[in-house]
Amino acid sequence: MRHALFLAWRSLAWYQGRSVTIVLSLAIMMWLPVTVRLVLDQFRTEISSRAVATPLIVGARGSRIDLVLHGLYFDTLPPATVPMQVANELTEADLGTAIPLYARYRTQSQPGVSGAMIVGTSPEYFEFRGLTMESGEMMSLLGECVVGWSVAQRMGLKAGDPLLSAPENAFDLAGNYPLKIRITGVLARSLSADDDVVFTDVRTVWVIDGIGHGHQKLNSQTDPGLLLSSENPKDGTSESLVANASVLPFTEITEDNIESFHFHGEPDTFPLTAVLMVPHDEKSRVRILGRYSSKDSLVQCLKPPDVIDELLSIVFRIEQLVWGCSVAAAVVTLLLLTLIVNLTLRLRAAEMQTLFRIGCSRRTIAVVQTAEILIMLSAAALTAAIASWLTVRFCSDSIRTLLF
Amino acid sequence: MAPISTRTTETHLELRECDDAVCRLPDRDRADLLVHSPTADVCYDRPMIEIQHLQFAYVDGAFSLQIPELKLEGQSAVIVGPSGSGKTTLLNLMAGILPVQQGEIHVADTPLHRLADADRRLFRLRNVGLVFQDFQLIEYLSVIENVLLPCRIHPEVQLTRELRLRASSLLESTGLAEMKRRSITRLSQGERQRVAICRSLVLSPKIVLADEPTGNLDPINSERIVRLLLNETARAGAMLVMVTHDHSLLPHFERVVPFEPFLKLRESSATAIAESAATGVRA
Repeated sequence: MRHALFLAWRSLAWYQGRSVTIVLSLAIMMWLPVTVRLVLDQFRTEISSRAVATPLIVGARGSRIDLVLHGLYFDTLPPATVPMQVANELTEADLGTAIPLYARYRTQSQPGVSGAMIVGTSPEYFEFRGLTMESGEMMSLLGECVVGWSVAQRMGLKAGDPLLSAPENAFDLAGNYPLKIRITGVLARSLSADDDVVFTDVRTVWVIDGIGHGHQKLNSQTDPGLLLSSENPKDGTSESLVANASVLPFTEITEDNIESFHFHGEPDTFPLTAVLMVPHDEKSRVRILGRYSSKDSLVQCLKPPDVIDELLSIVFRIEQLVWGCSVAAAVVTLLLLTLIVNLTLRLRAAEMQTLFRIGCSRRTIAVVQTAEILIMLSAAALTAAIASWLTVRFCSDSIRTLLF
Repeated sequence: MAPISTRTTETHLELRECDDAVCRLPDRDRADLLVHSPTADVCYDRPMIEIQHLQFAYVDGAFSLQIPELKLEGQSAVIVGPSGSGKTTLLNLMAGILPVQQGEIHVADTPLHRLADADRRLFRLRNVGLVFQDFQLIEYLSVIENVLLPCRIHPEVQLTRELRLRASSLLESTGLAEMKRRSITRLSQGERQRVAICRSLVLSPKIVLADEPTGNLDPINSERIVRLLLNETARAGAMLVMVTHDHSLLPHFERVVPFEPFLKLRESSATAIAESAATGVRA
């Protein structure tokens, strides 16, 4: 067998082009179904575990999948927002911990690096997900944020660096202004969607949204050109001032101007994209679900594992489709390989005739030819295994993004 | 099984394994019957090659062979005849490549006509070295690997250091020592034939059958190759049987066997072979 392997190896090395083509064809044929299975298994495990760890998600009525994926991965935007009142009511009802989420804006992109989603939430979120700091400290003031591990790696960020939010629409001059927020720390790696976002207080996102702002104080002595009217125009000391549009809003929240920041309107009406609800117990869970079970309600409460199961049934159908395609591709590849092997045997007929004339037995000739096929199959299997591992290791995130 | 390193040992094994009636005689009686071979210091019951009442024909073939009796012994013999007349067929019968249809062929005391295909293959590996007109070297193997090829396909031989040294020694004696790692495709025709000769001798065969080994060579190289074959087979103690249509090479051999008497031709083939013989052009 050793000599048969030697002869087969030398033959394969001599006919390099043919050998590499066959090995790659076989490897791709093996790699595709194996990788699809591994990636989907990984995806299934990952998405299921995060869904199972998230008891309830409350949000605007509409697409169930969009809301759950937003609540879990901040990927898709739900069709509408819900008011902060929803979270407040749940908290007041003492049914559990309501964690607000407002994820709508991204940070500005850097050359070659796309911006990260800015997620406004409350400190309970970090406790709920078990997130810890790798460096720096947790945000505590308006205008501060912590960045996920992957974001910090990708954008080269550290505690103390500034981040700029991206305007929703660059051509909307009356829209929100970019806000400069300060990084206070970097989260430890969690191998979850939390690594890919920037967390800040929900009020900071409302500032980006334009609901809250800070601006310079007007004084008739120092800013006579900006002041349009006042209850006491002589000294301009009135609390009720009317100024023109040249009054500049602050684009950065600092220790000096933080006192000037304020919100207009009722806090209960401020928007949230979702509320993560962690009920105290099963009874509370049932009560929360019952609260939003009415079809007329504008708010829905979802059990993420159920919705993810629906999603996975779609994925499973895709998997079956991929398997079907793989089987068809395998049949075609095997037919082509049979043709190639046949042609190869014909091309090597003279060589086999030489072996026969010298006295080589039928068995040895068969072993030489089989060894060649075995080496190619082994090389293809090894290549497919390495490629599958690399794909799962480095590309599963990309594939997940591609799928959803 | 131990590697075949000396012909004497191998011959004794052969004699012990032979089930012929002669072999079963007591040593003293058998010795009287043995024919002494001048090519080696071993004795055989028969001449190195003995053919009796051989008849062979291809299905729809152009000719048939009929050999009432042919005995070849000594150090070298050449079978001469025009191209396409069936010399290669006879050589293939002697090597056991073709099965005997009728008659008997004994080579090195082995009745080839009684052996099955698998046994004839093993017989070739054990006893016969073959040199072909088109060399039949494996292009993906280097020079030394081609020489050692019979060792790699022999079920009873271990590729030992001694065999590697023997292969190197053969290459050295044929002037190819510097080229042993070289690819076959980078050799000239003459060099390739020398590699083929080394391959035929590496397992120390009893007999070397050369099928027009000079057919693809110019006259100067033909002369060199024939001398080399004769020298190397003599040094290895093997008998050389060569077929050729080149009459200029005949003086080098101990015995010349004309091929025409063995031929029974069909009319059209007879004309073609006669023309070929007259013009000296291969059919």
